[in-house]
Amino acid sequence: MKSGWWVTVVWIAMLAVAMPIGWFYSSDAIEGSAHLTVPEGASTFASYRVDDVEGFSLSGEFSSSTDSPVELMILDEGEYLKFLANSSYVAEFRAVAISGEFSVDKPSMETCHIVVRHGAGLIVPQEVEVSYTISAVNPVGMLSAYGFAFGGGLLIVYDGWKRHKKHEEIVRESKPLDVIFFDSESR
Amino acid sequence: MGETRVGLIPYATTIMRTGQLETCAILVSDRRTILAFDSRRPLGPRAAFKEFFRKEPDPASEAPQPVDFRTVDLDVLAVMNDNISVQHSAIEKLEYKKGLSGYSLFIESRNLEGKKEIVLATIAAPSDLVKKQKSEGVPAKEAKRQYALKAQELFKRAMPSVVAHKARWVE
Repeated sequence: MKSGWWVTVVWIAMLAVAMPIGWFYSSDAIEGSAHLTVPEGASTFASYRVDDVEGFSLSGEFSSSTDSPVELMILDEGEYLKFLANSSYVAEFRAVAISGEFSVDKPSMETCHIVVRHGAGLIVPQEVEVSYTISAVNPVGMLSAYGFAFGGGLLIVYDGWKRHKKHEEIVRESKPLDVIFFDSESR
Repeated sequence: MGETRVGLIPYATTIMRTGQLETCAILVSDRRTILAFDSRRPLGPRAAFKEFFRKEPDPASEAPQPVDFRTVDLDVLAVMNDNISVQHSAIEKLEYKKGLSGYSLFIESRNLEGKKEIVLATIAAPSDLVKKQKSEGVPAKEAKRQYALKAQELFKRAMPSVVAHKARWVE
């Protein structure tokens, strides 16, 4: 590797840059939880705001403290405002259960609201535990990491190819250039 | 009666031996065609990757042992360095045609066990020859064509008449 020492150095440097980027953007996950209380009343609700979910996926679990189901919805900012205004809205996720899981993968959603209200029939106060995880996978960061690693690989291939060409040159010099017709020579 | 060397195509490429691009010389006698590989080192991304991690030998061993194609024993050449040899009497189909990457040679033959064997190589003029002819006023395209046509002439001279007659040649 004498002639390719600089390639080795550059490759290691590229990997050194790529690895922390890859680690930072792929292994990091933000976790959180909320204790929500849905007040007494048929049309009451409780909500919890989660910021900076753009480009990430949101998943988690919920469970009610009573044996009665709750309705859990995940709304983006615009739909949440519609919900507050009592106009028609579309939830990213909706479930009615005593406990369950939720998952939303919406890169364009910057802020989301986890809304909990009573399930059918129950109008007494209801406690709901919600825990969530924002999986922080940033495609730009991941691509940068892969780019650095791939670039290093390309550099190695280029260096090997250059050395091979040098070898080929030596081979070529030892051979005639053009097609040769031998005069009738017998072995 | 001895075997007669008809000619030599000093530069051709093929992927036959390892599945990767390699250069070879083609020695043609009146009885057989031998693809003589320049080295055991193929050219391609995978090979280039391996090449990087190969411990660099000293320049003396890096230089290949030159083969004198006029004097080398043909039986030795046929088996050395994993070279490929095709007996002309066993050829069933021969095509020499112009493709996208140059002029290609396709030979289909049967070996002693009756198994079908195929040889596929591209006859591409070496860049040094093209440069040299260009400096003499011959366009690169014409230089490559002349090289390929000389190679074709060589095969026409060397092949048995029954093979040459059935073969497909470049006009």
